[in-house]
Amino acid sequence: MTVGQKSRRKRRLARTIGAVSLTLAAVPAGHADPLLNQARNTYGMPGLIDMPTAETRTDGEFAVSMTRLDDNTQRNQITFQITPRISAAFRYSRVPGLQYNAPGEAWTALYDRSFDVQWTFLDEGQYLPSMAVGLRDFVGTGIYSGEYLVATKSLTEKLRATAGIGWGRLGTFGEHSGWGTRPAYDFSSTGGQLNGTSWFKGNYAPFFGLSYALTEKWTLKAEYSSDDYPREKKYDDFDRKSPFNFAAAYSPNEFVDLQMFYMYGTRVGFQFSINIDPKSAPFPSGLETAPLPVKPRPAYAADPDGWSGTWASDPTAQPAIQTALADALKKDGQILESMSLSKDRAELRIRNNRYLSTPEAVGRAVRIATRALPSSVETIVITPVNKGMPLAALTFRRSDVEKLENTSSYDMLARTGVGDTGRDPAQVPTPGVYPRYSWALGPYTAVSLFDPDQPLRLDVGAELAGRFEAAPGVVFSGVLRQKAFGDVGDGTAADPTGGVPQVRTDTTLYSRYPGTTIRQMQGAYYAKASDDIYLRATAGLFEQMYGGVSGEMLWKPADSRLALGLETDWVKKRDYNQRFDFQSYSTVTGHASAYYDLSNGYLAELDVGRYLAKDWGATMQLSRVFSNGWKVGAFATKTDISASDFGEGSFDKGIFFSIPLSWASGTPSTSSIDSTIRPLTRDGGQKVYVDGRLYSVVSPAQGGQIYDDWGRFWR
Amino acid sequence: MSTRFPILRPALVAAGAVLALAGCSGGDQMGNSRGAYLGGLSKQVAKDITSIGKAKPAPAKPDPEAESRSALGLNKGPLVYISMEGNGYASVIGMAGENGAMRTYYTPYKQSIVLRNGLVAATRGFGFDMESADTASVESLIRSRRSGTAPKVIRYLDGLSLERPIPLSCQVSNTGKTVSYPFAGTTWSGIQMVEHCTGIAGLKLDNSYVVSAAGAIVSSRQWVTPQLGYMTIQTVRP
Repeated sequence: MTVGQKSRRKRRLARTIGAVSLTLAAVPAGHADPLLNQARNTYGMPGLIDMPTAETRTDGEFAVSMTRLDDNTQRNQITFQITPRISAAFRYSRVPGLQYNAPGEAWTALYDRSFDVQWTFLDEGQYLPSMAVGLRDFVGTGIYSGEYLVATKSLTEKLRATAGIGWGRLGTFGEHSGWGTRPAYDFSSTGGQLNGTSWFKGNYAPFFGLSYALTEKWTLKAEYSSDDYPREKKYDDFDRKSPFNFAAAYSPNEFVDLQMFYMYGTRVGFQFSINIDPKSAPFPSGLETAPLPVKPRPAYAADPDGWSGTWASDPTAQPAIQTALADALKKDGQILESMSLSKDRAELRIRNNRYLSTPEAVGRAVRIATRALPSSVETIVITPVNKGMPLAALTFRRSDVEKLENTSSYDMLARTGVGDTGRDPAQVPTPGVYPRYSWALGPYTAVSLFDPDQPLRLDVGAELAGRFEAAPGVVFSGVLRQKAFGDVGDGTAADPTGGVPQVRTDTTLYSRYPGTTIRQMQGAYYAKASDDIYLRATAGLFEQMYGGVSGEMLWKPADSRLALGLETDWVKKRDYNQRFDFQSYSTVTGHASAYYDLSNGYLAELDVGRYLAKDWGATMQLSRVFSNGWKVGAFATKTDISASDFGEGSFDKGIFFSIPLSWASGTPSTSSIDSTIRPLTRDGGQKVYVDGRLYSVVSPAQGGQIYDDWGRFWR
Repeated sequence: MSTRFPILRPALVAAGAVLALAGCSGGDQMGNSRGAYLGGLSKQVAKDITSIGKAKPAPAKPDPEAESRSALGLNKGPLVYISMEGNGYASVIGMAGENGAMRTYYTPYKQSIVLRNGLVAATRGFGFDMESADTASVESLIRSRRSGTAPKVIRYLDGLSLERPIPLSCQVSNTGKTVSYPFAGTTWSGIQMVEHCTGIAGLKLDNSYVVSAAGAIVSSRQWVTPQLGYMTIQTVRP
């Protein structure tokens, strides 16, 4: 462990004291942790300067890094440490002078998007180094394409040495001829295909480097680069005088890294990075108010009426108790939609508007229930409800709740029944809960990325959102927007590709309309068909570009890792002014979906079906969901549109992330900051966006997520 | 009284940048709307930041004695005076609930501290809370004023909302020293007991207690969590 790591560890120690014991217990003897990288390379990945190392970032780390060289080469990355041993990056880069335009025209800067991935397959041992294999720019146009095998070893506490072999771009200086051939870089390629057939082929070259942790905050690095910058030298005036690069990295705290580079004897550059560890929250236990404590029942002698259950025959008992419970829950940000009450059992169906964690909401509700229910009620069932649908039944013995308050929450979990909600005809709706309304007026921003003329475009305006719930599961909602200023509409609308209906590439035309637009206006009906089957029907204006009718069915047992869904939509393309007019294009789209909770927070989703441009295909989506609500993932869609018809990018793909507000601020909230980034938006493999799809409505209050988040039960 | 949060992290500051864009809303919380989200965000963050920056004005020098005497007049139930070293919070707090040996005290900000026969068993609403603690073994030594070694477990939530145990081994000793002091109109006396606990990663903590002849903890200084540090608790009314 180097000095810098020690300091970071020290700073985190306070938070992880408990975690250490757990980690130690879980790791078999003789097993080492991956080598943690001190300062990333210019590509945002674990590494030296241009070269990689066999190190990793902290598991789960989400980061943004921006590299600039003095010739205005730019490498901007979002990186994510997917597992303790797999690092990945999505990059938007600018390479001066490498964009071929037309015969006779000047070459301009090449803006490109690329993905990297690295797998550390061997941890450092006493004699063996840490080893990793990596792919740089493995989908996309391929200006940075290269593969490598690399080893890193700690020589002293502060000094680490790295050696590796690179192919592709990383095998262009000091190269030897290898096996197979590598197709030449194609300036007019549409890119986007996995360039797997050329991986580890063609010339290869060795590279070396050292890193030295000077102090807790400073790291010095030097490398011998095997990247000859051949195309930059040939088409631009990149002057590569030396293979040696040097860097000084400074980390003022665990969130920010700054680096200065001196490269190839001619170039200087710098990098700025922000590192966010989703696993460490600003206020881990939250700043929400304390829960109401459990109120234990008095002895029989002190409450003979309550214990005997004679109260149950009094028709005024339930209404009085239900009103008291509803009031207390309302103060806690929860709505008692209905309840049933008998001599020894109560079932409370509760909608939680405040807490991101379902166990936390349920834990607070059950404690409130102990304060209001008569003594003879021993079984308390709390059923989270969303869109009028009961999602899972959590069954408690009241004596356990009384006995286990302020003990380990996992002891409570062992005594909690988690299962499907059965039919409960005795449920009495709480008076006055429906109809419900809500509205919000606030600002909005819309962002357009990666237009070569203007990589970042932004619209800012006002948004009025409203929702009206006429009855449980009947939800009318709408969003109006008025743009104040911005330049998203100034972008060029991409040309439709031959033979493919233009379903997404004219998004820009929608952003040009200056008046008030209807972003969304729909009515939805949700219902439960059986214990495990959920239904949704939605009609209206779904999104900026499409309106229509949508129907969905989801099979999801409360305790199952697997869920299956079916969705069919008839959609018509909306007019550019986004009022109630439509264009002539309409289609039927829909998917069969499988969702699988891979455990440890990894979730897989496969959709197979028909997309907006009448193309047939499948979408694979993988995400990592942290129990505090963070979500990071990637998706790819391949349909029967050929890569050449699809156009640049070859197939649809992207990354997404969601950052819960409660994580950032410590205050309780179910809201989050969500973003999906596509390197390119084309017409193939596109879906219609319908708000309130069933899996997102149902899964947070069920099996996997309930267990993962159970630590907040007594919060 | 003052509430001070020692760590204001960049994540929060970044969220605060949205403050400039104000919003408003009504009815239920709108979880899925971005506009509502921004409105809600700005309001909530505004509340956070104001509560952090300029929490309720604190008297220059808190006077526990005066505060406790005035609290005795205003409240009927059990009262304790607490002072948290990690965040500077100090106040007389009143009991809001009782479950067997556990008493839950609420601050005016709806944060809570749970004492199990005088030993800290949980806190809530301070951001770095003690979720729960297993205190039975050390409690029996301390309250019977015996020396000995006993295990103790303190649990807290990590950033992933996982409950993490801090297992401790505690050496309880009777110092033999009798302590007597006047506080809030009563003279409190007892034997001073000390508790030295060690945990993994070099964690060491030293708690101390004044235990009356009847076995009640009348005052104490106890470690809560790494960020909250130690808390002093003095009985105002048992």
